Amino acid sequence: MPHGSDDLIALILGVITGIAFVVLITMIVKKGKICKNGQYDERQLLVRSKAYQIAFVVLIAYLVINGIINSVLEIQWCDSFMGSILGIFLSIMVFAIYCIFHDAYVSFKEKPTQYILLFAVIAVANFGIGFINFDQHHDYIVNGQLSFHALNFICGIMLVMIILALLIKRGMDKKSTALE
Amino acid sequence: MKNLKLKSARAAMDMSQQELAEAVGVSRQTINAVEKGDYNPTIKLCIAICKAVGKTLDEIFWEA
Repeated sequence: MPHGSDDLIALILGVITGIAFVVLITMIVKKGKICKNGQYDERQLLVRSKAYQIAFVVLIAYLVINGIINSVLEIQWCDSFMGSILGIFLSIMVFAIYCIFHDAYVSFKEKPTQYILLFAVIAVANFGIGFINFDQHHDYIVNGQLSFHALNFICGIMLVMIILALLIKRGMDKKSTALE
Repeated sequence: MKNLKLKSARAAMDMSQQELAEAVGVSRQTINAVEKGDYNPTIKLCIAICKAVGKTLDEIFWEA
């Protein structure tokens, strides 16, 4: 975790840069078009609302289990920030994978290829930053706890899993279209 | 319950699921879900589908 004002400023600038990078890549890949809620059809909106509910429950379950492990069993397996972020990543992944396999992740006006490309670029960037962090700090585990340094690497893994889900779904759709 | 009436009406118009989906403004998977009986469309979508295949609501969506 960052200590001192310099580290805090670096963290804030890093977050802003990361967000700006993602926005820029999104604009390039999607050629300036941003998908709005109205571009999901009625069935997709229902599926997405169900996915939000499931992701919310998963997040709550994670927080409870993590709290029990940390406070009751007194096993400090990760630092507090990573503990929170992992819960967020887990619920995002649940939401994304549920929507992907129920045909509600990509708007009916878009192609999955755009998302695969976008996520691949962001995953590569995250893996790059993750390996730099590993190189500087020589480990993701500090004092027996998963540390903040592993954040980007884990984010990359999450994006890879979403990409795999999109690719698997695309393969399944091609088969079903051929059968029809 | 499968909606075979919709499937046959679509086939009679020589439309694929993708073409029907584009005509009514939904995804192909939604049309597939309606035909398989996995999704009950809103009345708005039912009307749009009927107009696209040239049938009435009774002919496509009423259970005999």
